Amino acid sequence: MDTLAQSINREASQKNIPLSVFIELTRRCNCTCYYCYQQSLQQTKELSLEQWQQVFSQLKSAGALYLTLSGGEPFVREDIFDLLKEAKKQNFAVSLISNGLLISEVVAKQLKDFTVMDVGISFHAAERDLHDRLSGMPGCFDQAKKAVTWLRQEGIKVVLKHSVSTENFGQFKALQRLATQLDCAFECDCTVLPDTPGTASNYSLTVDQYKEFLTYMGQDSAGCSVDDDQAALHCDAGRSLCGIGPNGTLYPCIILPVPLGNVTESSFMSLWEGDLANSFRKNEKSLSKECTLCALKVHCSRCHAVALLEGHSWQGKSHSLCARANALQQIGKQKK
Amino acid sequence: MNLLKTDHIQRATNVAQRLFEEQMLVITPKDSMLHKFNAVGTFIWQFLERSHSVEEIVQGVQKHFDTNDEEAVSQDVITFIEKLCEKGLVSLKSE
Repeated sequence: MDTLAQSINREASQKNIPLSVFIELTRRCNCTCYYCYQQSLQQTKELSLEQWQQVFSQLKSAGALYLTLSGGEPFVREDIFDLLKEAKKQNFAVSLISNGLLISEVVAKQLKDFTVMDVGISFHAAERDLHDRLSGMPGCFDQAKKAVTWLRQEGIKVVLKHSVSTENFGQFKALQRLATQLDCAFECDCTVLPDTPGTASNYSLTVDQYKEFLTYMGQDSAGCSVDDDQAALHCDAGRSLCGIGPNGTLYPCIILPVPLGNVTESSFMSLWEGDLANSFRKNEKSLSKECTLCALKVHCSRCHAVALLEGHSWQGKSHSLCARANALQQIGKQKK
Repeated sequence: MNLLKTDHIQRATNVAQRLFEEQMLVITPKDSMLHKFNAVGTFIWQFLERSHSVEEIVQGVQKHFDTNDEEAVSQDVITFIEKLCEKGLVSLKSE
């Protein structure tokens, strides 16, 4: 049965209400994580506090409730608390995603005064040396753990976030235990975006690794009904969710580089209801036949962004997601 | 808790909320849970944009929904406000 959040999200998706907005405040970061696709992107002009205040106001009018503030590293922005103050004034539910390096005991205490629902802290590994090497920052692991502890002391929900790849494969088990020890939630994903367009990331898992990971996490389906063809390849991008980059470019999803315009040049609503956004929504009905006729469709964790970054079109197929669907099918067969 | 009609109620300041298809969505700060209010709950929540006494809320609901059944409205309002208090969404305002 649907939870209330799922049912609201479905209604928002049907009515194109942008309930969840993912904002990259900056591309600047104090880490150089091994897989980060942002490192291959140019630094870009960032919207000022005043510009974000206007955007937040427009998002509120459009019906947005959930605001994820990320980067880069969001805490490198000196006005991060002014941005949180504005988000609180506009009654947003805020999630922050951070590497934890700039979250001191004082910062954790300050965060309690805002409408912050949770703070996601990235962990590449449960081993200090491996995490520090993969984040390119000595001392990162210890500081991230301290940040988690301070946030929890203030009663702030923390999500330990982990991207599973070939470089840190297997760490998810120890990280799940660490999350329990630190009294925080655990979220991990095995989607790795390529930093070179046109090819799957070198860090994408093999079919066997997908099988091991998905079995351990108790995931034996992509979450769609076997007889629901429509839902199998659908994504809420551009419907109940969207993303805005540091310079104000609006995307259907923050990782899907299909620009819908810039919020500094036109109002959010005129872009959201504009030709580019409507055309994107319409085009979801014409995905590649390789996908729509694929026998593994019901096992597919379809992501238009991964398809675009690994290939040439967001309507095309993705090699890494095909491998994942293959793994899910094999897990299903073994269970039978 | 026993609410008096003269008690003044104020909304918590750190509550995420949005009007969604004419119904109020509210997230409780303690547990980040999403709640959806019905039409009466939505009216009361919006009415509490400024602090009001329980009696004023009851009168507001009666007027807005055009009903004279003060006793039933009063009981419903008090039950709702008590639930909001439990969840940390409102508190009693000290005079």
